[in-house]
Amino acid sequence: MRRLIPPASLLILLLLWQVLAWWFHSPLLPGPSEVFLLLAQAIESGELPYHLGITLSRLGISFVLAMLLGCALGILMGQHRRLDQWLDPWLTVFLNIPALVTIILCYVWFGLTEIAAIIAVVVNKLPNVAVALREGTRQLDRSLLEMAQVYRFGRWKTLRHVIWPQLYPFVMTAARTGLALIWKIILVVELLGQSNGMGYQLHLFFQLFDVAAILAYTLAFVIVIQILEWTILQPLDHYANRWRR
Amino acid sequence: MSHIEIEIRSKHFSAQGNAKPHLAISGLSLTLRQNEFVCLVGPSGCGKTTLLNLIAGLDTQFEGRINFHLPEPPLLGYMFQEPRLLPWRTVRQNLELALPPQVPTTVIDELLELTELVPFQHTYPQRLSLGMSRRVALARAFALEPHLLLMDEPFVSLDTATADRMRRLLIRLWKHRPHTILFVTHDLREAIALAERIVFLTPSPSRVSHEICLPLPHEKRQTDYVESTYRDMRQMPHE
Repeated sequence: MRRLIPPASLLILLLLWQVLAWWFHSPLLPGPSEVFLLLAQAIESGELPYHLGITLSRLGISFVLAMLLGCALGILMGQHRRLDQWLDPWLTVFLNIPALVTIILCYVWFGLTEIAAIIAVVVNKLPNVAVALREGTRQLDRSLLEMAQVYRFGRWKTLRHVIWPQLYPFVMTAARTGLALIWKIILVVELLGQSNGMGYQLHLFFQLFDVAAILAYTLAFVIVIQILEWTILQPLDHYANRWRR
Repeated sequence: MSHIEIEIRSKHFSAQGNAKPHLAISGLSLTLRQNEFVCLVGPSGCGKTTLLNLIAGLDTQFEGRINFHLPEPPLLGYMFQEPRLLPWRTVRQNLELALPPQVPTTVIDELLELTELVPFQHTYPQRLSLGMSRRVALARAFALEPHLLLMDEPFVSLDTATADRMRRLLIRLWKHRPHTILFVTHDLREAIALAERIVFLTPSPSRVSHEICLPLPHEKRQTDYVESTYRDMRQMPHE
């Protein structure tokens, strides 16, 4: 019964949408059937897969970079108090710079290039990851680390069996919020300075006032993220929590 | 290896926050003979855990020396007050991780058998009772055949019957695989039931106040022996 609630709630949303579309009967609010048809056409023509693929690869690269650098920085700052004291103000500054400003500055300084786009996304995301991992590192259980030291686990074993399982929940949280954040930023990045990708396409449809196409692209987006959640994130979560009571 | 010499000239903790600097240990010297079972008894807060941490190398900020008379760094087993098992690894994995590469894993099967943990070897520690977790920690401490086994009040907060069973298990393991054991407790009865030699510590700054040898074999130490020895020791005037 419980498993049926999410699909049922989505179904209600669709129904609501359909009702509203009938009610207003305007090209500015096309119904779900029209949007799904358009989605099918866009997929068939290869246009949507092309732009979605470009955006996903930008997303993937900047996500991996932001996670790796952010984790490394966060762990270092969690371990070394002095470093933390020096870098903490920087982190606050970067956390508070609006995403749009970073994007504009990156394009101004590095040109309208792929690299500038990726740097802009990474700079936006990195501070969040670092903050999460710093917190995780500060909360590492000292008594388990002492145990590992007495039993001579060595660096690698300690990292893998003592430290990593404790940091894992923090990494997962950072990955989840990170994915959501990057998703949003990357569209702005593409809208402002790229000639392909989902952001570029959405901008195009906006100028044409093509609401149906905008909704079709959004739908594709939502579906991809949901698939990522079900096939990668949730199984990882489940695996990591297998030992809990 | 013949014996272990421990000599702590001084160990103090510097001031932290509102806490004043504190001299924990001063002029403590102790020699452990090979395969000897020694109990350290002292009032709580006298620096027993501090001493074990110094011996274990977890705390290197002290004046003095600890000599194991070994060419290589010593192998240590340390049974902490809490079991300190990795909750995300099974009982068996917890034992395997503590094992140095040269020791065959058959040791683990043997120890699981002795501690009656075979049915639980693939269980995660959060599903075990405290007594069972302590048994795992005990097996882990014995598994690597340490040069010295440190035990820090390992049986506190267990009910009397479980604690008794654990003590018998400890003696059985020790007879089976002899080791030098330094066992810290504030419970004199426990020390009488276990030790070959009891070393008494003074309140902090702690040093050795006196020691007593108990030559009677463990299997002959019944409750009445423990009780009468306990009464004798209480009445003995010291210093």
